[in-house]
Amino acid sequence: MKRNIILLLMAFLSCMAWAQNVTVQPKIMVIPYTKQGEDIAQVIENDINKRIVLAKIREAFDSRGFTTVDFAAKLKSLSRVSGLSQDSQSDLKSMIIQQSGADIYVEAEMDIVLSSTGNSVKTILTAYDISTGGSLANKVGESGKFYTDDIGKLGAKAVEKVADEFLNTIQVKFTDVVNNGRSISVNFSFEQTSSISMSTEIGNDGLTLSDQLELWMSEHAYKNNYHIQGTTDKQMIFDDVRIPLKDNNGNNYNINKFGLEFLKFARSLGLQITRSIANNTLVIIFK
Amino acid sequence: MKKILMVCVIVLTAVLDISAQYQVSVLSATKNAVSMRCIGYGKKSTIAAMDAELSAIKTLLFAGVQNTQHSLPLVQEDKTVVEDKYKKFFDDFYDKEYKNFIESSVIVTPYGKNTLRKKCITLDVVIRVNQLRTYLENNGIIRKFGL
Repeated sequence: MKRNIILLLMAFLSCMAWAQNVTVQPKIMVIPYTKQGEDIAQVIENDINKRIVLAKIREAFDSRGFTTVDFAAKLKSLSRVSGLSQDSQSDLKSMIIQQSGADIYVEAEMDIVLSSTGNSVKTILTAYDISTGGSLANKVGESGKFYTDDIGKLGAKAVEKVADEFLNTIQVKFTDVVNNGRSISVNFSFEQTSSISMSTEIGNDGLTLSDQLELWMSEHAYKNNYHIQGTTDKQMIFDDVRIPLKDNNGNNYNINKFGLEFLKFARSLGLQITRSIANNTLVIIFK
Repeated sequence: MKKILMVCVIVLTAVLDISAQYQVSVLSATKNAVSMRCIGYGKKSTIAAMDAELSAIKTLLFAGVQNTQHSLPLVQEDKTVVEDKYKKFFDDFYDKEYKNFIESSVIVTPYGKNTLRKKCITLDVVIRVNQLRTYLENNGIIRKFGL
């Protein structure tokens, strides 16, 4: 009987563990560096060495059990969906970055140095957070000089020398997100016809709207971690608000759920709002 | 008697702390392995060798190896905090499990007294870093790549 109870308990616990939600991982895309006006599609199509370098970077992510967004496939599918030829797109790179669904992109620049004492390749790897544009990690890798014309192999060597350190630096940033929450910004403003402003007293305790907003933010920002960029009578901007990756029940938490919580709060005060999200910014407009 | 015992324990702890400092220098590093020259101290050659090997391991875990692609420590948290948090794991790991990640351990200077008349040994130790990282990830000591 005892054994049965223990077995049942173990089965229950393993089910509970199974039921825990997996954290939504950021999507990472590796792209080649392009100069102003350079066609990213042509760069990829015409240069096998750049393709080798990109493949080598993707391989580094794969070796850590992390799948990246395939840039070449995304490029083809977006070109097909948009119905535009690659030549007619003025800024294809920005379009791919915005529409790929990636959260982070890694840009790889390659510098080939040919000399009589041997050839070498330098690679510059930079990881960017798409929502903020902030740089997450930078590394320069050098192949060293070799008497070879195999530039692809030199490029791969240059990447290999710094790939682990590059990934470790990104991981430090990820760990910070896990410990201190994901950074979003929140922008409060008013419709032109709105009868209220930040100095209007809202609620029963005689506090102004800006005070109410700050009190709410201090309660809902992860570990009370938020920063106010500025407040005017018509606007209040929180340029850095940390939100957790998971809610109290262990479910994934995101900017949309944070906005929903604010909607409930606004309704409790008898305020009407519209909310929208763009690039990790929650925009709240009071009616 | 109790007081004497207490004093002995304090002195012993102080001595162990000194020997626990990592005396390592990097020889070479690749993507998968790091080679280090390490000095270990102890009353027996086996203890001194173990101390040298653990110095190499702990350097990778908590300090990182400068000027290589393993410059960031594998464990980002504070050493004492993490060792306390996963006490059982680290007890087993320092006892014998760490040996699984040592590719080679070659004596450079045999066991004997150094100029300060302390008994020590110098080894060239090669650590399989990537395997060590995966092992720590699988045991939940460090996070896998990602959030």
